[in-house]
Amino acid sequence: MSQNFKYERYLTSKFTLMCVSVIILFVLGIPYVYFGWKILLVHFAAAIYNVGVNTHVIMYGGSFNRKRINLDEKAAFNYQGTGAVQWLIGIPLMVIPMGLFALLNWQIGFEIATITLAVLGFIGIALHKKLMLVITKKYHASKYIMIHAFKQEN
Amino acid sequence: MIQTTEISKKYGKAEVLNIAALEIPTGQSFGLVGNNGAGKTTYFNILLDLIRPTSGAITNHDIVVSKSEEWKNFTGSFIDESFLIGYLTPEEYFDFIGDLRGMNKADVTSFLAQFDEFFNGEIIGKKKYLRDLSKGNQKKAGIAAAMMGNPQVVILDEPFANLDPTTQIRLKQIIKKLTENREITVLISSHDLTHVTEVCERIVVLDKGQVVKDIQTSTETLKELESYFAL
Repeated sequence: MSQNFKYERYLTSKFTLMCVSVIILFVLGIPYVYFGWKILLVHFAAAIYNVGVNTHVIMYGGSFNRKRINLDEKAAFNYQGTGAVQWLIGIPLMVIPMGLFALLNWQIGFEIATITLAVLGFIGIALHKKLMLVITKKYHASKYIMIHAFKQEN
Repeated sequence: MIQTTEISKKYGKAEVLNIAALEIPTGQSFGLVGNNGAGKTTYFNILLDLIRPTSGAITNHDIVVSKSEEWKNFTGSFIDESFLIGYLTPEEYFDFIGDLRGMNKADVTSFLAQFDEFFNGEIIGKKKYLRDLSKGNQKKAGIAAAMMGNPQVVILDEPFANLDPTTQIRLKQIIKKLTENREITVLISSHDLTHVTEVCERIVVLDKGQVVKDIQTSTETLKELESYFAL
C-alpha cells in the first residue's frame, strides 16, 4: 500500500484484466453460433454489458471486501474467498441482466432485449472515467478498514 | 522535511500515540527508540498512511500524507514482511518494485550489485520464493527494495532485528553511506541502542506514545539512553 502505486492505477489494472477475460470468454463462446446466430448476438450484447456495467459493479462490491486471501497457498481446492458475500455480489451480476433480458424478450421482443443490454453496456463504457472516480473514492474511504482487515489471519 | 502536528492515535480509550510537534529536517538520520508498545510502529504506519490518526496530520515534503498519494514517489519503506510479495522470487520482486519506481532491468541489476555484500549470496540466484526465505533474509530483501529508485525519504522499522551481526554491521555502513550527502532523510526505529546511536544523528525516545527525550547524538548519548532504559 505504501509502494509507488496509485490506487487509481491499481483499479484500472483490475478493470483491464476483467475486460480481457470477458473478451477471451466471448471468443471461446463463438462456436455456439452452430446453434443459431441469435445466441452469438446475445453473447455479444452480454459481453458489452459485462465490460460496461458488471466490471464496475464488481469493483464497487470489492470495496466491501474485508477478507484476506492467502496467495501463498496452493491453487487446487482452494476455497478461500468463496463466502456468502461473494455470492451476494453474484446476484446483481447475473440475475439483473438475465432477468432484464427475459422480461424484455417476453414482453417486447428479442431485438429490443438484446439492444437494451448492449446499450446499457455502452452507457457504462461511456461513463467509465466517472464511474472509476466514484469507485476510487469509495476505496479511499474504506482503505484503512481494508488494510486492518487484511492484516488479520482469517 | 517531515512535519508532525498534534498527532494522536487512540484505540478505544487507550491512547497509543500523542505527539504535539515533531519536525525532521531533510537529510537527517533520525532514530526512534522505545520499549514495546511505545508507538514507534504506529508512528511509521501513520506516516505511511496505513493507519488513520485520531487527530492531527503528518506532512511529508509539503504533502499531507492522508490527503494525497504524491509522497509515494519519493518515499521508500519497509515495516514488515507484508510489504513483500511472497509468491515472487527476490529477483522478480526487485524487478517489479524497480518498475514501479521507474527503473529498467539494467538499473535494477546495477542497483543490486552494491548490495552483494549485504545479501551475502543468500538472496539473488537462489530460485527460492520470498515466502520460503528466513526472516532475516526476507528483511534484507525488504530493506534493499526500500532503497530503490532514489527515494528522498527511507523508513525502516526495526531494520536490525533478525539480522546476524555481520549483516548488522554491513547495514550500518549502507545507512551511513545513504545519509552521507545529507539529501536523504532516513527514519529508523530500533530496540538496539548501540546501533541507533551509531547510525543516527538525532534520537527521539518514545514512551507510551509520548516523546520523552529528543537528543542530538553525541558520545554521551548511549550512556544517557542506557541509564534511561535501565530503570
